[in-house]
Parts: sequence; C-alpha cells; structure tokens
Amino acid sequence: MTGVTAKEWEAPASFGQERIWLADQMEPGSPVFNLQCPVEVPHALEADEVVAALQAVTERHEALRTSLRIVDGALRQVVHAEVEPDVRVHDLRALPEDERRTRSYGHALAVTEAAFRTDRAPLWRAALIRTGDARWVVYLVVHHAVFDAASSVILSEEITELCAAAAAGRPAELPELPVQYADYAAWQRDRLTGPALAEQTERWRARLAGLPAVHALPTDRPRPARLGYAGDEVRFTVPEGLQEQVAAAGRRAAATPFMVYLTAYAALLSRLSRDDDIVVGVTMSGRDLPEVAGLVGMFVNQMAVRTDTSGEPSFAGLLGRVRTTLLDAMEHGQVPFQAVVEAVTPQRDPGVQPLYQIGFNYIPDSGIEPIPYVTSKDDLAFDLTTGVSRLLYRTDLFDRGTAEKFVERYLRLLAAAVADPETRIGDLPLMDEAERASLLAAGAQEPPREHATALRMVEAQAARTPDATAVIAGDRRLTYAELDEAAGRVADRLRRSGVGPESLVAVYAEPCLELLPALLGVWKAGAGYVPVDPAYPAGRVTYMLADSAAAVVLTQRHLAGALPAGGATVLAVDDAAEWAEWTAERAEGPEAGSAQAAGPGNVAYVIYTSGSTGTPKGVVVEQGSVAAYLAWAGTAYPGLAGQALLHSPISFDLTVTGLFGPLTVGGAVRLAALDENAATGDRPTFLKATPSHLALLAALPDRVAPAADLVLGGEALPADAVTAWRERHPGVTVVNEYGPTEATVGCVMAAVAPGEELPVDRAGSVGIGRPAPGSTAYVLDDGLRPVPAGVVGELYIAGPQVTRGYLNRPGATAAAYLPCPYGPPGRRMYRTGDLARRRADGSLEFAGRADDQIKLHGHRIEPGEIEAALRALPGVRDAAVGVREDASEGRRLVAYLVGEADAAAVDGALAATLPAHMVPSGYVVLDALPLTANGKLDHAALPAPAAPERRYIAPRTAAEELVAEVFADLLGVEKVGAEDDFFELGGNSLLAIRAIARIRGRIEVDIPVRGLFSHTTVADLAAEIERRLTEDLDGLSDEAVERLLAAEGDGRT
Amino acid sequence: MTDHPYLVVRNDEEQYSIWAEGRDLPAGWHDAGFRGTRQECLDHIETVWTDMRPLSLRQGG
Repeated sequence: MTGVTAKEWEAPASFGQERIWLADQMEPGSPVFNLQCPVEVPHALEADEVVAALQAVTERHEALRTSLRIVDGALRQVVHAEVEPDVRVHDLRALPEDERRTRSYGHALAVTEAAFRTDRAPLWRAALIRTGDARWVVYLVVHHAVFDAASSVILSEEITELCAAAAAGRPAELPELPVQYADYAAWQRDRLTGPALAEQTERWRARLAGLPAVHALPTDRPRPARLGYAGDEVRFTVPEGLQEQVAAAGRRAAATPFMVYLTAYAALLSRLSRDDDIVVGVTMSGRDLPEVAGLVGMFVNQMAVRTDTSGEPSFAGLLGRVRTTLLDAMEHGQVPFQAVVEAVTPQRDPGVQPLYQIGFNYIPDSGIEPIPYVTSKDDLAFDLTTGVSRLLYRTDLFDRGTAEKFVERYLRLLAAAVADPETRIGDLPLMDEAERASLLAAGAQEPPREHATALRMVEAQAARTPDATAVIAGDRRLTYAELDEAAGRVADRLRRSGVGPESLVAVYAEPCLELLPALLGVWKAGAGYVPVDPAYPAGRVTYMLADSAAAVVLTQRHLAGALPAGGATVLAVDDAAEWAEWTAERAEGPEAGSAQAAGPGNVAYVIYTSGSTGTPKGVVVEQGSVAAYLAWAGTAYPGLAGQALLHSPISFDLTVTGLFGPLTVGGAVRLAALDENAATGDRPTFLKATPSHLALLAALPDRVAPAADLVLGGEALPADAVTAWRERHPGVTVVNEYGPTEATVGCVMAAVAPGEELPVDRAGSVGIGRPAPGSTAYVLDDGLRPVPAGVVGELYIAGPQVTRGYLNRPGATAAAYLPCPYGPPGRRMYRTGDLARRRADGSLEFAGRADDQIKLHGHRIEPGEIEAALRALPGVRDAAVGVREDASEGRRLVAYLVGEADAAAVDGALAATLPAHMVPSGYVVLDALPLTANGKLDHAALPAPAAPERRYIAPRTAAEELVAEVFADLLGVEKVGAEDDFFELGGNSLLAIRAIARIRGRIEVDIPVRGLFSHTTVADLAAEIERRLTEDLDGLSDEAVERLLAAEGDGRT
Repeated sequence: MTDHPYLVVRNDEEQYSIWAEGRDLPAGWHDAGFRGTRQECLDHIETVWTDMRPLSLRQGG
C-alpha cells in the first residue's frame, strides 16, 4: 500500500468485487446491488452528532471510502483518503404520527432506489431521520461491491455504540481493526491462484456439469430476452413454534436449521417445477479469517447448491442429501463464484443468470423493519430470518399472488415435513383442503344419461322429424325417414352375414350419400364400425382389416378392387343392383338373423390412432360414450341443428361431431370437401376442423365459413390464427375442443362467444377450457397427486366418455387406463400423455405432449411457444419447430416457416423477443406445412435443413475489422472471421469487459458491456456498434462527425 | 423409476390395470396377485386379460 498522504491509492479488486462489478456493468444504473443497513438510535442527539458517528465509521473502514476502476483491463479498487458522502437529514418530529411514517418511508425509499456509479466513492449514502426528541433512524444504503449482510450488522453495531457514547459523553469502545479490506483482497488473490484454484474449480465443474440452464419453475410470464432487475417482495414470518421444530428436526439429523429450511425449499421447487435437478444459490459469509471478522466489505461468495430430488425420497432422506451436498460445497466455498461460472457455462444467455436463478439466504435478523426491495437479483429468493423473512421475486416473471402462494406452500410443506420427516417429499402437502377439493371437483354439470345409445338418439330424432333433410351430398339428399329406411336395409344385409353386437364392420369408403346409411346400418345391426380411409397406404389398410378382424367390409364399387384379398365379405353400399337385391330379399324372407340391439356397453366404433411410434392401436368406443358426447355437444353447439359441413375423413374421430351430432338435433349433414366447391351450397351453420385447417379456411370464400359454430380440435390452437378468423366472422362462436380418441371425441372445451375475449395462454395458444358435462379432468403429478394451479402436470380424464380400451391389447390398455383414486369405486381414468396446467380460474391450458417436450442443452423447451412467436412476425403465415439431430451439429432447434419472410430477418426478430436457447439455429421455408391424413402436422415429413456453413469469412466492414482485431488480440487467436463467436473462441465475461473497454478506447461509441453478451459474433457486435454510431451521429453537428471519423481513422492505422 | 415395483390390479368389471406398489389402492380395485416391474406387469396382463369386455357386458349378453 502506498503512502497515507496520497489522496487515493490502488489495490487489486477482490474476486467478489469483480463479480458484483461485472453484474453491475450488465445493468448500469440499476439499484439492484444496493444493500440496506437500517440503524435505530434511541438517543437525544443533534444531527451533527449522528453525522459524526457516520464519519467515524467511514474513517475506520476503507471499504466505505472505496470505488472501483479498470486499469489496463483489470479491475482495481481505489481507496480515497477522504470522501464526501451523500447524507440527508430529515427532522420529522413536528409531523403527526401517520404522516411521519409515510414521509420516513419515502425518504428511506429515495436513498434505496437511487443507483451508484461504482467508479465514484463513497459507495454509500444515508438518510438520517429524526422521529422523536430521543429517536433517530439511520437508513444507510451501501453498494454490494463494498458491503455484505455481515457488514450491515457490524456497521449497525458500531453506529449504535458511537451514538451511545456520544449521548453519554464517553469515548466509544470499538474493536481494533488489524487489517483493511484491500489487504484481504490481496491475500485472496495470492492464495487462490495456480493449481490449487484449478483443482477446486474442477471439482465444481464436475459437480455442476450438465445442470439445467434455467429452472423449470412455472412463471406467470415468459422470460424476456433481456434480464431486468425489477422486483418486489413478500414478507412473512416463520412461526416460533415451527422454528423450534425445524431446529429439533435438524438436531435429530445432525443438520443445521439452515439445512432443514433449504431442504424444504428444494422439495417445494422440485414439486412445483416437475424437475428433480434443483439448483439453488446460497451465500457463504467468506469471513473464516478472524482478522476480517469485524471488517466492513464485500466478503460473501455465492455457491450453486445442486440437489437431486429423484427417486421419491423421504424428507429425512432429502435432508441427508442436502447436508452432504452443502458440507461438500462449503469445503470448496472459497472458489470465486465467477471462476465457477466461467468453468461451467462459458457461453451464456443474457436473459438468464448463470448457474442459478433461485436464491436462498438465511440471514441474521436486524430487528428493524427493513426497507422494501424494489429489485431482485434472482428470479426468486428467500431471505429467511428468525424475524421478518422475505421472498424476493422478479416482477418481470412473477405476479404478487404467485409469490404469496409460494410462501404459503413453503410454510405448509415445511410444517408437515418437520412433523413427520419420514414422509415422501411428493406426499408433503402443498395446498389446503379447499384448494385440493376444487382441483378434484368433477366437471359434471349434469349426470350422464343412463342406458342411452347414440343409435337410439338418432332414431328418436328420425321419428320426430321424418321429412327434414338429414344428409346432403352434392345435389343428392336423404330425409330422416329415407336415412332410417336405408340404414335398416344395410342392417338387414349385415345381420344375414352374421353381424351382431360386438361384431366389427369395416367401412372403406369416401364421403358419399350412402356413407351415413352404412354407418347407421352397422349400428342398427348392433355392431361397431371401423373406418378405413381409402387414402391410407395399402399396407395400413391391410393391417387395420386384419387387426380388427372385421367380418364384413362396406365399400363403394369403385374402391372394391383396391381392397386387399381377405376372408371378409365385401359389400358395395352404392351398388344399385345389390340394394335392389337386398330390398327384395327383405320383402320376401322373414327377418334375418336375431335383430339384437346394441346396449350402451356395446362397441359403436373402433378408430385407429395414428400413434407417432409403433403400430396403430384401435380404440374401442362404446355406444354409451358416444351418446354421452353427443348429448352435451347437441346442447353446446346450436349450429348442429342447422347444417354441418363434414369435410374430414371419418377415420378421424373429430368428425363424429359433424357426422352424428346434427342427426340427434334435427340438423343436416352435408358431405363436401373443404374447397371452392363447398361455397356453392348453403352456408353451413357448423364446421369442425383442426387448427391447421384455419389457413385453408382463411383462403376460402365466406360462404364456406360456419354461421353459428366453428369448433377446432385435434391440436394446440394458436390464438393469432383464431383472432384473425374471428375478426372476419364476428358473429360466430369459436370453440376449442380438446379430447383424445380414448375419451371419445372431446371431453374438455372452451367456447368463446362472439365478442368474448379469447383465453390465451403464455405460449400464445387458446386455453382448452373446462371438462364437458359428465367428464372430469385431473392434472396430476407422477405419483397421481393433483398439482396446484399454475403447475404443469399430466392430464387424466375420467367419466362416461372414457372408452373400453385398445382392441386386443390388454397390456397397452392396462398401461393407459389406470385406477382412478378420486372417483367412484372401481372407476378407471385415461392417461392422455398430454401436459396441462390449470389457470387460477380453474380452466385448463394445454402444455404440450409429455413425451415431446424438448430438452436441449439443459433447457426445457416448449415448441409451441416458439411457434407462436414465429407466427406473430410479419411475413410468417404458419410455423412449426422441431429438433433435428445430425452428426456435425448435434441436436438443434429448427424452425419451419410458411410465408414470404426472410430467414435472416426472422432470426433477428426472434433473437430480440425470445431467450437465446429458444432461438432456432436453422430455418427452412416451406410452401405449406405437411399434414397427415387427419389434418394434423406431420412431423415426420418435415425436411432436414441444409447444413449451415461454418467457414472463415473475412471481416467485411471497418467495424467488423475492428471487432475481429480486438477479439484476436485478447483471445490470442490468429484469425478471427466475421461470423466467429466470442465465447466459442474461448472468451469469458472478464475478457468481454476488456474487449468492450478496448473497443470504447478505439472509437467513441457508447456500447454497454452487456452488448457483447447479446451480440456474441463479430458481425453482430459490429452491426450493433454501427447502429449506435449512427444514433450518436444523428445527434451531432457535421463538424463533430468529421472529427469523430478522423479520430477513428487514426485509431486504425 | 422404471424399476419401482408395480402390482397387477383388477376392478369388479374384471378390467386390469397396474398400480405402483406401496401406494393406497383406490376403492373398488383389488390386488390380482402379480408383482413385478411395470413391463412385467403389463406382460402378465397381456396373458391373463383374455376377454376385454367389461364383466357386466359379458353377463348381459
């Protein structure tokens, strides 16, 4: 250290200072690193006496006279002999109590919220508030670069003593300070170098390798591309009785209370985030040396504590894990957090704090009401004390209600855990009885009709309106009476072939007038039909006919030849000769076969699911389930009583609505393809389609659009496409109907009436609403326990629409139809394999498939969210996102676009709105997205993108040259190209700061340090520099511009 | 978790399913006397559940 007569002297910054400074540079001007130190002074002192106490501590602690500065690319701390602190004195004695409180709060907030510049000393300020003749409150606010929580206790004690001494007129008794902070920093630099540091860092790297890049805790809003520090807090107290229980539970397990609290925290996070890899940041005091015990300064170090919660451990078991992890971490707790960050995640996303985003601190209780925080360094963090504890949260991500619920759940879980530590963490309660009951409540607004069959519903309608039109195909029509009559003939013929209840009849036909008589004829014979789409590949047709073992195939004359040879009887429904023959036989002979009717338990149809993997499975759907569906659909969709346009193949169960729905309420079924020709008939009142069809609908004349109900189902429904459609058709109710074939067509639905607001989820999709009458939807965790609202779980369906199972597949059926713990005894529930979350209002949101959620480089990615962002861009009509794997690139995200947008422009726009890990690394522009026969996106048909070229591109502009040169020099790389990435070349955050400093030294551009974290390639950073230069130039005189450019030219020569 | 033992269970309609051992079996379901991994249980069900019609339907006709 240099002579004391100097006005200032320099020393190396500590690692902790470096970390705080670095983070501060990312968000200059933010008060996020302002720490509080409130002190109560119960003495009758004058203002100058209190100020004198502050002067005394400032003289004692160099940290209170320190600023930070970059010298030759390295961070130095600068200690000043004298400083002029910002101390504001407010005498509020004359004010009434209420106003005094308000004003006092306002003054405290004012000193807390203002930012510090770390290059100016001192890094603290204070408000001295006199609230009584013998009462002062000193609100000190100190920057984290020179301060920590323990410093706050030290400072508060010293000020208390100094003021007490002043009041008593005696000298203050303060401990000797054997060293100063700069000595500590130098000692730390000396000690943590070379192989010792490398070995310890390596241990951290090994422990944290592959950790989740970001926690999976559900947020109320998507993470913004740019990390903001705006925050708020929820205060709470851990009841004293519970604190004692925590301590006792700790003692039994040789654990500290801190470990018990942290274990409950990890358990809660694991439950709420559906993840078993939980990373929490904890703080180490860093004051192991006795010499620094009484020193003000930045000593704390952060550690990422990673807890494995897998395998359903008991709370005691998890406590054991946390204890081991924590003790191990503490042993290596001196390794600077920054060094660990560089070792574990050299490439970082500017929208995500590295290593951990959730903090946990167990801090001493100051006993004074703390100043509220308006910022948060972490997404979520506990500051737990024995007094007033706080949950800090980032307001960009969380709502206050969510934070309050988090605290409530934590305390509930903690209390149960310490009461019985042998409880499995999955079984610890998260909610009270009322909340739990509301999650398990049935959606049944009305009981399902007993003994109803779909057939009887149609027959009853035919009896009510025999002369009304029932079916329309082109210019041919059938009345209800004619339909019933024709169906009767088909049934007779089938019975003669030995068909009865539980028999299966394949229907291999295109949409035609005879289709409905055929299907109803199968039902009248008591049997179930198996739709086989003539557009299917021959192999699949053969498979379905063989698997269903259908005894009879109903087809059309022109298709009969395409049928594979087999043992089944083949009948052409449009063969006039055959019809005539049947009619004759019918007239002559006695009723053939036993005219046994189907009951509600008999099979109505078998529909094969086009599973993405493995062979298709036939879902056996019973008459009662179809009846239950049609009963509510007939009421919910008034458009069914008019004319329904049926355009999709009947092999897709989505069509059941338009196929039979109208026939139960007196409407007509019109069979027509969804094209220009459909516009020639009457305008339909009802149309059901997949969301993928919306693009097609938008291109068709308005006469094709339904006048009453548009029902969409089969896939996640993007809100933007629906919004556009609704704008064009404001008088139509739009329904999002959710339902797997296994739960009969649709069992959860959201109807959005004209003028009503769309329920849009955070992925930009329309919510799926509430269970249909009779059905119940459960959102459950892996242990089949209900998860709270907001938390993603797997969706299970119970009720009359749950089908019998998979045809001749007992194992697959048993795996998917599980005992229902929440309904009547013996009931089964269907495991949909879909993820869902419940909104606060109880309605449901689809959250992707359980098995195709993408996990990429430690991130859990929901493709729908990226697709929604893509569709929101101009020039993008439709989009899909998938993961591609190839040898050279590994696994990466690829976006498929339909529209005129340019891939580079799309990439740039996405990078501005989405976190880096969600920005695709490849783009493919298509004319249209490939669809399956059922109108869903055909993932398998998406092409692989062209391999991106990775080659040297020489810098093309002056700015690129400058950046490339700086990179090459700092990173010791010979040749840096325009497309090279700073972090891929071996850069880290300290080097990044030096790079920015150098660039700033070469040209006068106000580029922030975070610029290099958002623009990591030479070309991107150069473009950003040029953009900022242009902005600056706009505000300059011509003369100034010339001077600037001249200076830049000098710099480059 | 795949090695967690499961039970083969059956309800009064003689429909089979599987259930994680150690968890309370919902009312109306009974242990069918087979225990194993999830896959072993499903394989076992494949051999014993020969008529997938619910019992009431079989008895009714």
